[in-house]
Amino acid sequence: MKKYIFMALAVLLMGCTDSPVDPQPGPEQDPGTGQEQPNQPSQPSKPDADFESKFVKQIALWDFTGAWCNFCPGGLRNISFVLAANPQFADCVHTMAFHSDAEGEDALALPDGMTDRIMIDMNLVSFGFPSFLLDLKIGGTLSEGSTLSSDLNQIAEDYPVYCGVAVSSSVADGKAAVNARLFSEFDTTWRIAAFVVENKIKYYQMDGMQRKEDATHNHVVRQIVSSSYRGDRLGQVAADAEVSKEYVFDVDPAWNLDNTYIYILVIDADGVVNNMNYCLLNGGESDYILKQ
Amino acid sequence: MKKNTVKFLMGMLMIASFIGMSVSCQNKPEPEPEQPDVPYWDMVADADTIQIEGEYPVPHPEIPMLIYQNEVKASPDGVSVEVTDLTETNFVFTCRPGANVASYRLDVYPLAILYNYMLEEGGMGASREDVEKIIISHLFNTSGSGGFAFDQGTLGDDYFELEFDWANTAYAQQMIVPGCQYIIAVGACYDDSASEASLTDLKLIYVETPSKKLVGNPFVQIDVHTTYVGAQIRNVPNEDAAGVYFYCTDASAIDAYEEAFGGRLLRDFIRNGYVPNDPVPANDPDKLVYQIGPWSQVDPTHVFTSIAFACDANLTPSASYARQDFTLKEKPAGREDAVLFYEVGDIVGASYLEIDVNLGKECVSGYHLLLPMDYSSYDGYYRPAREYIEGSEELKAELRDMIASYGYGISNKNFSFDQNTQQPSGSEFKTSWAEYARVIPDAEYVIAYCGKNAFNEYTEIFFSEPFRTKPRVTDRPQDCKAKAKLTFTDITPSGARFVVTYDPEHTANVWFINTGMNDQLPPYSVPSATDSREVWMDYFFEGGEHSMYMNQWWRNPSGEESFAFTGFDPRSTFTYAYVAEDLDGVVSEVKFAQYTTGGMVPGPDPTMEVVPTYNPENGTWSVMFNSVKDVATFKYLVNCDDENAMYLYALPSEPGGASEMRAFEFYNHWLNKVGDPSYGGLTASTGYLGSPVVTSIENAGKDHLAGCVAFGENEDGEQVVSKLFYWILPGDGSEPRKLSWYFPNYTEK
Repeated sequence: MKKYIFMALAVLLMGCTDSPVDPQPGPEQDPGTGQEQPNQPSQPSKPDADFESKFVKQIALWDFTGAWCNFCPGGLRNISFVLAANPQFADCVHTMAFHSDAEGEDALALPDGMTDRIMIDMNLVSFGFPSFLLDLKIGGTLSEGSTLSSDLNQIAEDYPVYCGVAVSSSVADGKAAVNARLFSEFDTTWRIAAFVVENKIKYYQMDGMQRKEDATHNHVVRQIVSSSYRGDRLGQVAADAEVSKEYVFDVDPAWNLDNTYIYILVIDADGVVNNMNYCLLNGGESDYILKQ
Repeated sequence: MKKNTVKFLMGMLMIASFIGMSVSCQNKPEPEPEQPDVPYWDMVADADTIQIEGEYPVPHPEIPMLIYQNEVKASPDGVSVEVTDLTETNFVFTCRPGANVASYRLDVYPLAILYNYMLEEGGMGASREDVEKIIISHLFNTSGSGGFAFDQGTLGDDYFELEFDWANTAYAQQMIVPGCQYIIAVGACYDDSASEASLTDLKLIYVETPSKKLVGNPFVQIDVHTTYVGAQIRNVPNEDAAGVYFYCTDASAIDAYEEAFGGRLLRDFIRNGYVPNDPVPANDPDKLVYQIGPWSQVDPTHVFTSIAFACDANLTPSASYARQDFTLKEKPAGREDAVLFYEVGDIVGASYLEIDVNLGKECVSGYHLLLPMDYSSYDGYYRPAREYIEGSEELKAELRDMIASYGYGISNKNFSFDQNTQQPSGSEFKTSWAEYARVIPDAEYVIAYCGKNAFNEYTEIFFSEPFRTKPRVTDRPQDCKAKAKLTFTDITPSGARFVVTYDPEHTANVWFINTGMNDQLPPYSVPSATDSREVWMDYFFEGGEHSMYMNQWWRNPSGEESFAFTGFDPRSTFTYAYVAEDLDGVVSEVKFAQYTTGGMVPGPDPTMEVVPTYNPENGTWSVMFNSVKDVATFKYLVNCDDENAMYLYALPSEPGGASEMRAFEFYNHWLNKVGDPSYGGLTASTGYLGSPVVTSIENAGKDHLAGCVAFGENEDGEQVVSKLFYWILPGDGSEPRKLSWYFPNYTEK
């Protein structure tokens, strides 16, 4: 009884508003810089290593690429192989392709050099293109010599999940309305990041020395919806509490809504993606992914 | 007591000092080595040195040397040498440096070669000191083929007694031959620099290899065919000959050597005069023929000498050699210079022009270059033509020589020569030459040319009348009269035949480039289709050597050029931009042409075929990886355990036998070896379709795994990865196997 009252109170306090609710007073910070001081909890920010979550961990695999990039199709083949050879990851690793136009023509690039800024922030510049980033934590090259398979295992083992993510989305009158829910299994702080991702875009792609017109591009990150790729601050969420966040934004007419999705990444107090989920932008819904 | 004590103590002090010195030698730094006061060559000749008398005394009476035979025990300042084994084609010797020798330099010289140094460098009739200085200069030559250095720092304890199995060492530059005299030269040094500056002692050890009795009577006949400019020499061995040695040079050099040292050493000189010095097989007549010349100016009285001799199968040389002296044919008096004439033709465009060439009947060939009048050639080798035209005779001769060597040559196809009359008997030859490479618009040029007659004599340099190319016009494509078109035929998965058609009455040049060549950095990167004409004109014509991928085809009277290009990826689209320039220098609009290579369409079920073939002759497997269907690309690998741990050794030795790994573990391991990028691609690589890939195996007799993984594509454009296609290839060549052979309960994927 007591437990449910506490949860109800938590829900009333959090609400479903556009702006994050900060249950504890903290320093004013520009959200999304990732520079904020974490709240100073007296308890640990994550559970013990033997914590058993009821959710299935979904891993965000960021692929840094470019249409001009001769070696990037090879990098994608390496991703495909690693996921095929490791079936335990086949359904829970989700590629997100961040295109850059810094070194060549690429209309699929995020504006303002955002992809390159992310690579600089995450110390990936030395790997060049193609390169990967797992859960905002482990990065490397996708070319021959890539440690992607061992790094995936490391992410799965060393960064266990302790939250669930659910998402629903609809489009009306040129606007998308996204509702993202987080169920926290531990009393800690969270951030939430949202991305529009589109599949089956026909555009040129360099492959080796040749140019393939009308190559099919999948998992292309079209827009960062949250104020930063590092997400918006949700603040402290109690254990077994659920919070939600709404995003409302304009739909770009260039997007093919049949192939466009909203990806929600939930980021823990250490800046590591702990879980994620996604659904179709137009009329999609994906509930918490629970263990069987 | 006291006295005795003092003495005893003194003694103990001395002993202690001695012990202290012995012990502290290991602790204190080594004292600086001291150079001996007396140069070694001032020492009295050692009684152990040899003097072989006879027809060929050793050392030569005019080349004084201190030579030891097979063995020498040196002082502490020198290196002792002992020959311990001697055969027809090798000798083994040991070097033991003296206590004061920190390093030494060593080499082995055929005596015949050493004597040649003496002949060339003033050693004949010189003092022993000067003779040995010549030897030292070669032994310590650090910029050329000097001796080999040895010191303790490099060799450790081996330094103190080092054995050389000479013919089998890396130091032997040539094979040792039977019945030959050699000198082992060892220069000892007091420091570890092994340099001439620290030389303290030189030892020369004489070694003579034995030879087996000559089998049969091998000999060689020499057949010389001379011309005015050179000669062809054919050596004809008899049936007893297994190998042939031969040499040709000025007769005076041969006479000088033979007179000084005799025929035996001349023969040894020839046996050691080349690297490698294997005799030419007597049963290879093509290798027994060689040419000397051609030279343009040769004194017909100059005598050449060709020498040849044979050896038997034991490499024992014949005692005698054949010698043929000859001179080149004397050029007849009254011979005529080549007559020729070059002038610019009727067609002169902006970047293309033609030259009319007229070679007279005396002219064997003409040579020319198109030179800018007032600036240097693009490669910087030639001055502005005006400087040559107005320059000295020496400068003109210099240009003539350069053009004779590096200019464009045209042969007189109607030339012939009457051997009886020694006169040209053909006729003149007229032709046209097209210039299109690096011809600059609106520039003044001249044709510089010279000719050659039948006697290899070149004319002076001649110059045509100067002329000017037309300016290039890039802003009036509508006025361009050239009508060129680029099309593609015979399209395959790896390329196509490029066909350029045009009207030769109006077209000078066509340029085309693959617009996908984006690997070049700006400003050389190819413009896009939407770029302005100005950008394209700049790309095509400015910037000098702006693209290694630019194709240029020039006017051909047939009006068509074609060429098959290959090496392209399958299912790929290639776009080419092209322009034409007419004979008035007007450039056409930029046009585009496109084609798509054929090839397998990737699909959802990429399937490969692995086809191994065993070669029992060398115990190796060759494997072909064949794309069957739906394959976009694939990775493949052929490996044994030695190259990269495949765990083949862990397979059961028989079906159903024991193994520390389970079947699926082998499968997964091999799958990752082929496809996982973390293995660095050292043993797997991506193949492209169009033709199967064949890989041969070099580790004969070892078990191998041949495997491949293919990539296809589903209807959503997502990549599909195949299973592992594989065979286990037994090293003994027995039937290739699958895991199910070893694990009967395993179900293949």
